[in-house]
Amino acid sequence: MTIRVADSMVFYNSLNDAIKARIRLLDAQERLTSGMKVSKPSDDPAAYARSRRMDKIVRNNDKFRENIERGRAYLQSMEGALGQGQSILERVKELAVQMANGTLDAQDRAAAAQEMEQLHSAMLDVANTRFADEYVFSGTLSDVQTYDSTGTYHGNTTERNLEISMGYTVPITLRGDRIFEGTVNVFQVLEDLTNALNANDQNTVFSLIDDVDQARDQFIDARARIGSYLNAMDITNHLLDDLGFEAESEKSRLIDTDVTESTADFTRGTQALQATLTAISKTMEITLLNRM
Amino acid sequence: MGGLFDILGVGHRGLVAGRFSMNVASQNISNVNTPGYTRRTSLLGPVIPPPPGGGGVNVEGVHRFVNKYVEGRLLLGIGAKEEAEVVLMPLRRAQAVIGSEDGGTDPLSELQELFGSIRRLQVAPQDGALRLEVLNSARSLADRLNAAAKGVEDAQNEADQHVRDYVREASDLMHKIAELNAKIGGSTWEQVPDLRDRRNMYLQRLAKIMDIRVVEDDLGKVTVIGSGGINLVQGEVTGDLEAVTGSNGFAEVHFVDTNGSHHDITGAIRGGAMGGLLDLRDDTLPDMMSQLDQFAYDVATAFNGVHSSGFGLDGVTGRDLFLQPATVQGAARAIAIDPAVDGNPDAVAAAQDPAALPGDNSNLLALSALEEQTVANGGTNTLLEAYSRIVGHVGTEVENVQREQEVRDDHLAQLESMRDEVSGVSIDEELVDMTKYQKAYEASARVIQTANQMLDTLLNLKRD
Repeated sequence: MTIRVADSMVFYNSLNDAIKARIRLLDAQERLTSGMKVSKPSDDPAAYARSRRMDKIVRNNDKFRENIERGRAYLQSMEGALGQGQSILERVKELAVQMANGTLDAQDRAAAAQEMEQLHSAMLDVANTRFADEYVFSGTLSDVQTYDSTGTYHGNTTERNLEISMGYTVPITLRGDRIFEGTVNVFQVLEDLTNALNANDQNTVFSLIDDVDQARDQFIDARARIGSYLNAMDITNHLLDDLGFEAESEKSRLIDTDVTESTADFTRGTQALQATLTAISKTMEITLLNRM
Repeated sequence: MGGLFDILGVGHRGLVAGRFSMNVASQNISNVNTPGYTRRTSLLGPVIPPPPGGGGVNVEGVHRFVNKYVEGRLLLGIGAKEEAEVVLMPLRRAQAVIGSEDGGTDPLSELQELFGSIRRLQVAPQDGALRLEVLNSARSLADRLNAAAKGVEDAQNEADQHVRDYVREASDLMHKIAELNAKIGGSTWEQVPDLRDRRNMYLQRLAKIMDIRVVEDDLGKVTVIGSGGINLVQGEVTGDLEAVTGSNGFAEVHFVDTNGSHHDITGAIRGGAMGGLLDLRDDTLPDMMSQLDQFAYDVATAFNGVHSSGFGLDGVTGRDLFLQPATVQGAARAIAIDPAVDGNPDAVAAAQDPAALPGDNSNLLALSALEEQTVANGGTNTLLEAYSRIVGHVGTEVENVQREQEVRDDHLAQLESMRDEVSGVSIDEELVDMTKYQKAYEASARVIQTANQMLDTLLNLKRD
């Protein structure tokens, strides 16, 4: 209970009230104009720390999605190459079946042998597919040509794995020896076929048809593997999208201004300041000085 | 029985008292806005011993309206407010280098950039541009940690500089208070109120600097009891405060008494600006620094452990990514990219098998896996957790001081209001007083006039 009112009390109390009203108004204005309610750790240490964790998820997801994008390009280039290889093998089989026919003569088979040689070199091109200057079938020896013209593998048996979400990896370069030298050696089969055709050896040509089928299966298997990796990437990508969106909205909830709330605060603040200033000027007017 | 001339004397004393009182009231009015001014009133009393019929009024002195209890509390309140206020700036500055606004560029975001660039390199580990990116983000991380450590160090040095300045000011104030003690002891009552007001101002300024208690003796001299129970000022006797540079390069606060012996009171100072700054310099900031050091050390150790086991594009192994700090202490200031890899993108150890170059990225996978491993704080936290704790620590510290400052501000305003309730000038009141004294002055003049007329009457009697 105040006993006495000194002029300085009226003055400083008014001043304090006005300053406080102004600070509150400025605070609301800052939140509105900056769009953030938490911009420094001290604004709300817990929310700030949590927003940084969300930020980490968002940033990591961006990197993972970028990796998926680029990893997918590697896989697609391999997938395209193997598709091409598969069509080559289909033509090889067609040719072999045709040439196994007894009605054809040595001249026909010699012509077919020439085509077979071309198919052989086309198959070498498939094995030596490059993407971004890297031999994709050389395992991790990506600067080494995968197969030389004699059909010798120069890659290694390691595959390059890419992290596409936290701790989860898929291969993006494959070891070519598994594909081209699986149960059968594709280049050996093509060479044998060429030789048999040149030798006009109808029976050997016939017997090699099974090996061609087997080689084609090796390609189909490899393509299926690549398909499953691409699939995993798609699923992960969606997952990352969802997680990233959730993290983003959680982060926004934590640190972004609630515009409705802050607008209301701002309006209230303006009114409060006006009321305070009016009250001050009215109070200050009342003094005995004006009456004597 | 008094004569007519005595009545003239009474009237004259009434005029003197009225004029004096008017003087005091106008002094009050003109000092209505003077900080630390204490409202006064004239002390009047009848003339003693009174002649028969009374001798009129006597001006006995000036009364200052003071509430001693509030004045004592005010000194503490001033110190408490100053303590919170003075640490806020350096703390905020430390906060800005440790946890940036809107997550821009601080050590944490640079750490994430480093993990990001490592992951990007996984796609094409032979790519020189991507390798360079890894080195650049490693360098940025080291730079940011250096900057954070320097920010904390700067705040510490700044606090120390302030302490030294305050020591000088406090010492000066102590001498001024002692001088005023001497003056108040030997002065007439007319001067004392102003001297007291001035001494009070010095006491308040000293209270801003450090926690003090003030005891006044019967003669009006004060004893200023400082932190740790040392009498900084006792009547006219005082000593010096000196800033003595200690072994860690920071100032110790010494009280040097009149015999010249030193008393180290650094640890005893708890309040006021100096208390806040000392706490900041010797406690809060070193805490932050050691957390940053631990983090920098853990970063270097974790990355180096994996990196040095891998192989660069040139097939060389055993190279660190960061210059390994020798000790935890000072690690944040010292951490840097290792000269063996700096400017040499091929040295980034992406591979674990020297025979599997250049496409082997298995060591990059091991490096990015560090993000989720508890490699910090003795294997209890991930690096992100560890850094979040540092940010949380500084954030909470700033938040607390801000809140504390508001509370103390309010508290001080309340105390000042309580002081003004007793000691502040009210113009309304003074106007009323002035009217009162004016009337009394007029009446006293009338007394003289009347006495004069009575004397005339007496003199005219003789002529008839």
